[in-house]
Amino acid sequence: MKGVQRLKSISVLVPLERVQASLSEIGFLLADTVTIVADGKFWTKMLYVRGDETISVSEEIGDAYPKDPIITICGSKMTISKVVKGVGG
Amino acid sequence: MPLYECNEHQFVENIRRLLESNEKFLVNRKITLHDDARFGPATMPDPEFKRYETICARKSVNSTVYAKVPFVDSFHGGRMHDEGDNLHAASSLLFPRMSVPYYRVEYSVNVWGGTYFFAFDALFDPEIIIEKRTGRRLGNSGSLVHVLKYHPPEERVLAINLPKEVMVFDVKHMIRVIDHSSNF
Repeated sequence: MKGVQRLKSISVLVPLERVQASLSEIGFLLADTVTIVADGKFWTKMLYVRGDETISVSEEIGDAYPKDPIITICGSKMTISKVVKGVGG
Repeated sequence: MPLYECNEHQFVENIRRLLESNEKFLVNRKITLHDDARFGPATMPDPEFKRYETICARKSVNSTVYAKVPFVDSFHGGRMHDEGDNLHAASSLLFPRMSVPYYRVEYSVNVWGGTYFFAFDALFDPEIIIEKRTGRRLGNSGSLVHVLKYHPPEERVLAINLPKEVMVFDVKHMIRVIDHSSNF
């Protein structure tokens, strides 16, 4: 990756499928998943990787409403803009 | 020293703000293995419980979980559960007989005399296979039996993704010191 790595976390009210499609479009591949428990709730945490850029997406498991996946991006400024734009941010 | 708890979004955004302000800081990380019966099959949401459905059944969340087939829990010393065994009783949700090991992950950052932390538990991944096992209940010649195994999650998926310039120190224990000097 060229340039400096930046950090950004966003919480968006869009379905997980849309987030995944957006990440796939810009070349991020799912590398690993884990079930975590935080704030007394179960979440699926997915790690997406492209080169040395990483994005993690955490979404609450089950029938929670509203669903607002947390997206944490560690990558270039351009990657952050693309992801934010892709999920309608 | 005040202690502030954050969720993942808040913690990462706080670090981003610190990075943008060029403030010097250090992130501490503590990862510890726990097997204290905190998480059992009755309290799991349905999508997580589905991963165990080969060996156990329940009506709904917080209902009693029973073994569907005899199985060996290889993580807990080869503990054998018989068909119909009560694995997690609805009347005793805090004390499951079948439990999931996990890593407790704690991230913290100290700035301006305060500690900001984010903590979560990462459950081990279950794998259910059929193996030939021997033993007192399975006979000397051995029998095919379901075996429940747990795999620890990879470190890369436990980590919070941070830029390379952020230094992360792994620690074993954090001692919180109460500073009364400002009262005088």
